[in-house]
Amino acid sequence: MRTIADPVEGEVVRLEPSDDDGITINGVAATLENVDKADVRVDLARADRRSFVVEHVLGPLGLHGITAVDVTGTVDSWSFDRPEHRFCYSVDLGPHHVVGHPAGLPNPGIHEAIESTKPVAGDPAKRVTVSEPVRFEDDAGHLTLRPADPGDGLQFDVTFGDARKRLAVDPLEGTDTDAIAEIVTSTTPFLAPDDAEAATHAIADLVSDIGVLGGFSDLVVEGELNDHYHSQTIGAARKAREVGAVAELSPGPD
Amino acid sequence: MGTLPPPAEVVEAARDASESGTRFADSATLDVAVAGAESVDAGDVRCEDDAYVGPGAGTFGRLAIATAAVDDRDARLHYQAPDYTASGPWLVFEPLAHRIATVQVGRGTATVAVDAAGRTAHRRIERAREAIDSVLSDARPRHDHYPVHADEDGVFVRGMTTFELKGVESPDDRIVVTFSVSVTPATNRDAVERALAGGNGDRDVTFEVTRPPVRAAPGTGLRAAAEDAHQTVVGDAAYEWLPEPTVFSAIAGHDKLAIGPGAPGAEEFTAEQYETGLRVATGTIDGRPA
Repeated sequence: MRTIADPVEGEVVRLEPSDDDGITINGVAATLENVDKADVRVDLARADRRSFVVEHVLGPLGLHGITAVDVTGTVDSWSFDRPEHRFCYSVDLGPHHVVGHPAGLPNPGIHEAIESTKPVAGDPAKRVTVSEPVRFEDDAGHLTLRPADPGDGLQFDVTFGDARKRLAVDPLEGTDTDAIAEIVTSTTPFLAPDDAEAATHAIADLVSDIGVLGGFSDLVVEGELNDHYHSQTIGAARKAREVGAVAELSPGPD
Repeated sequence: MGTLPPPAEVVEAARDASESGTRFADSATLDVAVAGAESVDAGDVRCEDDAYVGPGAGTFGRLAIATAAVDDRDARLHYQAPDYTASGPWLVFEPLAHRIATVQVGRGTATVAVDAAGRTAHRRIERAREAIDSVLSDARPRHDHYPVHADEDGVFVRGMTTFELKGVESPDDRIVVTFSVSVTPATNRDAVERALAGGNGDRDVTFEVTRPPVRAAPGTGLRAAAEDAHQTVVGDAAYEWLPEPTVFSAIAGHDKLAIGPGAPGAEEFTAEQYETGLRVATGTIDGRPA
């Protein structure tokens, strides 16, 4: 388990240390069970609580190996040019329910905030992989999760359009800070100027969806991402559970 | 022709449903209207390759859905125009591409008057052209992050105050440009006037809201039923705003909700849209608590 030493502010969110392993956003646990929407974005929902575009928060947290933190949205004014804000206004939710970054970035403010405060390590987390390859396919792409050894991390080899991105990330221990800096300043595919930047942004989303929400720490992840790839990432993580292919490994090192 | 009912049958069935609904108005627990139905007729559409085709195709498709959905159900169809004295709650069919709406953008009018005098006719024409170009440039949507200049689907601009050119006149030696303004809950008079005023202080700007935006508050039962029906049938229960005033804003009160397949202005409505839309509609009507 890794938390943060002190409360910090990212852009549009506030992070509080937690004594319990797990991440919450506006009071909802960041787990597959609470994923309510997964296509062009990921929303968490439980009862009447809903948070929008959570991948922009979970991605940088996973890149830093932060596994225990309580996240609260801090936006207090409307930006109706954002469809998520219009959704919130339609159902009488406040703008703080939208935790996605206004420029479509994986919240570089969270990255900077975590860099400014030391992560605090607790009990070693169980490392999780798949016992056999799991392939998820939909109308425009596919994603395959393959087994890996404890400590290998999430080894991504994915394409988006004409771009290919290969990178290894450890969602329980953190990742090279220069690599994180490049990822969190890459904008979402809908706004990205080219496939290369979109593919770099996608790494944050893959960490969010497969590492944090899916609960996997060690995998080889290969595939072709389409323009609503959260259906592929969450779909692959769910399929692994459905077919009983989730495998816990021995705990990682302190 | 597949599953689409013939246009003439839709109109006849809608009239019958509306008349019988009027007779049992006091007992119906849901009032149903179709935006645009007051101005569309069977002659406006034709059936072609299992689709309605023509300028009113989308509205006609939604009318066909509403008519079928109220059949033998505790709901009253209002055709062609709503009986505005009905108490609701209201379910309004709109071109929402299977999203749900409780908010409708309003409308306003803005005018920008600029002096375009000149000593010669040539100079007056030049100044007029410069004035018009300058005003239109200032009226274009802008954003630091989003491609609003190419946002044909309204992903971003639907929530922005935008200006649609309605006319240019040249009374005396002035140019007067008139815009229709989309008015959102965040539209601010000062901001509108600042946006159109230009940097030289040589323009007179007026702005008037003609139809304010509307924010409905449907009962939780109707909302939950609509959300469940959308989640079950189309896999997503998403909310979006209606882009301009329709019968939705004319209906008094807050207990109303809009649903419906198709996009605004679509000139084709397929059998698949009809089937899916009908499942969502009946799921919404049937899913309300007793």
